[in-house]
Amino acid sequence: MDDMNQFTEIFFEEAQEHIDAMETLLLAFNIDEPDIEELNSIFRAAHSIKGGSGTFGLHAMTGVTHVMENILDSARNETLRLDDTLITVLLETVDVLKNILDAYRFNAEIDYPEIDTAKSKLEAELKRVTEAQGNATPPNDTAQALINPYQNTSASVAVTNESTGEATSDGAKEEEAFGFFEQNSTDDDAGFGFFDDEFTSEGVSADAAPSLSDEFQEECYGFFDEISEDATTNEASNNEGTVKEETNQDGPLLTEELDEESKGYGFFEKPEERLSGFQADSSDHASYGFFNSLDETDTNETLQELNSTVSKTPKRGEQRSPESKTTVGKRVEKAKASKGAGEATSIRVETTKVDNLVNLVGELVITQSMLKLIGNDVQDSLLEKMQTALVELERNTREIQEAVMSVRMLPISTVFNRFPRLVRDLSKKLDKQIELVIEGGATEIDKNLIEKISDPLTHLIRNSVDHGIELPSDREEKGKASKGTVTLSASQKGGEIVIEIRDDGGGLNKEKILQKAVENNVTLPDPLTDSAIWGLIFAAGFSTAAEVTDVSGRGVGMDVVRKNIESLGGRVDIYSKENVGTRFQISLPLTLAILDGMCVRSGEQVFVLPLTNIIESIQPDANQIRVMKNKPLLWVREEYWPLVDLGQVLADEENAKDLSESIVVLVEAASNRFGVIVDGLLGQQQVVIKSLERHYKRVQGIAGATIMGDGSVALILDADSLTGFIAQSEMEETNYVVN
Amino acid sequence: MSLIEADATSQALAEELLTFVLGDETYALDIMAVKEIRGYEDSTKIANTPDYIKGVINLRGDIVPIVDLRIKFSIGEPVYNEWTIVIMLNVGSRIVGIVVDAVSDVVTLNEENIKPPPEFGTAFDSRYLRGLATVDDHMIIIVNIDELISSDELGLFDAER
Repeated sequence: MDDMNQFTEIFFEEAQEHIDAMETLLLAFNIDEPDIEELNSIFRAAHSIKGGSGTFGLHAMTGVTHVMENILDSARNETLRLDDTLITVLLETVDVLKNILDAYRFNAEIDYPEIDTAKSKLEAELKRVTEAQGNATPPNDTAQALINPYQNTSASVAVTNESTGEATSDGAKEEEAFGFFEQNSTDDDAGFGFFDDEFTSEGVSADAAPSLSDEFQEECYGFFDEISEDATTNEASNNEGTVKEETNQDGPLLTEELDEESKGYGFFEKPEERLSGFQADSSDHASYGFFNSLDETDTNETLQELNSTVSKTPKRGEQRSPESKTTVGKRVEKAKASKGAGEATSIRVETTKVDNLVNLVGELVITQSMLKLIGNDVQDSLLEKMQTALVELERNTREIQEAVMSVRMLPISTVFNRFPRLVRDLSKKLDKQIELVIEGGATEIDKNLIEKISDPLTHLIRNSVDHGIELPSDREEKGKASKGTVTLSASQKGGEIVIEIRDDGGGLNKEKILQKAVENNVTLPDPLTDSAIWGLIFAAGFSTAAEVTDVSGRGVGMDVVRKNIESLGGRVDIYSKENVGTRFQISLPLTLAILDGMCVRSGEQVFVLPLTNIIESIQPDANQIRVMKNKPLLWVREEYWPLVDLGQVLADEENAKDLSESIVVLVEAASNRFGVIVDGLLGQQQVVIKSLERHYKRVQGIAGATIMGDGSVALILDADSLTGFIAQSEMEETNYVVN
Repeated sequence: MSLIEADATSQALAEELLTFVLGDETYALDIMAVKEIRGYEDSTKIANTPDYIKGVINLRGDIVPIVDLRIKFSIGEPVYNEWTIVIMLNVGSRIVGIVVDAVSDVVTLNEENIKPPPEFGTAFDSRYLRGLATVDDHMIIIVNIDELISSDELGLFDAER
């Protein structure tokens, strides 16, 4: 079954997506006004997991999803109404599914008791709800027989016939089947069709050759479902009947063949194998699910055609007729063509490949800058041509770079979407009423960042829910709505992504924090400003929660939050007001690799200032310069701008620059605006950010380094940490005055 | 690697060391730590750093700090000309360049030829020394280069790393 591994991996990834989708949809589900479309989507997700897991013999999963499917099916047929408890149980089941998936994925022990509990819980719920709502159609025998189809393989034929009969009489149950010809398959973006199909054929062969080994039969249960499905169309079922008869006769022959084919894909593989070109495809990722996109009429045609092939093939034995090969071949081609036309395609790529690409593009950008520099020295006749080509190259490089970078960008909702569940569960547990509002989920962020901000965000949200929002009774006492709100928002500001977690809860308690800080021997900051006090909660082992709950209060967390975010080159700021709420603001760099920069000169040294931070550059007039406490300020645009002298803070220059001879670049950082005094502007350039910390250490005012066109190193300025120099110099100033 | 460990693992194995000159003294370091040897080139200065940190250079895409050991340990004259040498070292996962007056030789030494370092009398703190050896009547001072480069005293790396 080695060949299966690559498919199993695809299944795992897709199952993960389906599970996530189910969770999201269940959370968003409005109990009072059920949306049939949403129910359908949830059902389809459960269904795809069931189909896929069945195909791969991941029985633990099949069993659970099946019961889920029963409930969801009744719900979407409006024979059952989902209520809050039922949703909770369904969500719990989703968790169980996640565990099973992980267990299968990492070859861990599967927790069967957990699965059984989940199943019986679901069944109990279904029973409860069904009874409560006086539903007339409890799950019938077909359903029961299908719950664990793999256990029934020994009694295969009998069960099949029975379920076929019942399925025919009970149209509503048609969805029980997860075979290939299922009507939903066209909507199913999961696309397990290919396997279903293969196993369907395998299933037929199993029926035809009941003497096959048990192991093999276990793989074959797909067949029974297929029959019951087929039975929904009389024609098809008649057709199928014929096929069965025929295949039964040819059973022994087939068995031999299948024995040869130890992979057990069923006998369709052979004719296909001989088709040039198809073999490669059948082992190719890209071809999975290609039957899936056939529309329904096509499907029925295919069914019949396949059936006829089925009936022909075994009769001919090993000497397969050329016609039957051609038939299959044509069908395959047609199916492929229709897939190509009708589907928005995406491929899965290992992140290392993308990272590699990003690095290479980085090198390309450097080379392009070098060429540009050399291009300036080219003489006379060639100059113009050269320049045109270079401009072209520059544009193309930029486009390649943007395209490559966009591959790595993902909407931040991929992280945010896991939080509604968290908040729902926590608020239930804590008896609080909390609404989570998500804003700006479409904001795109580098994939590497996404993985790394998830944990810190989880911590902060847990904190807001546990410590921030008060109990409903307390809230009412304070004159607030009993339902608290936690807002999670993301936005892009300049070159940064700003993520905020806001709650309208009690706010941070200054006295408690200070008291705790004293208890823990934390050195108190001086001066003791509000933000300095809030900063104390990032100290290790700090928690002001009165009691330790399993939600939070152990005092690990906040320090980890800050460490994680700082390691990404970001910061956390806290704003809080008693009884109004708390706001955690996380600022992260937009991307980790390339930025547009303005090259500035200070003395002999070149620095790069990120373009996103720059507002404008001016040559100040004497009358724009004001002096306050011996420090020059610049009066521009009806505002006073504090100034940072680049030469003094970062280039070890002795003397302050003469303002009237210099250029001031007005810069906007996350929390501050100021002017940077430089000697000259050298031009705009894209630079590849190279880490200074990789071989050295962090330097205040510096975000990283880059390699210029001539191969030399220039330092990239970090507007945010440059603001530290303003504060510093102001402090020095104050000290001076005091002394 | 401490002396004892080295003793246990490589008694018979001879060790190759790269010798280099600082002022009048000959030093040696484990050749396995050497990435490459190159001529001195101008580096980009980093403000607010001690003077022995010359700055950073571009080593094929990596931004690598350059330390002038002559300044740090006040040995010899820190002159920079076409004969000034930078030894690029692999220290853990990092690359660091050290400026020396010259690179002289590769010597092979057995563990028993290495004598314990004196407590004083060399420019380096004895913490960073592995021992002394004599080759062709010259004393060479064997430096524990990993220890030296990652030391807080040099302050090349953030403390937490």
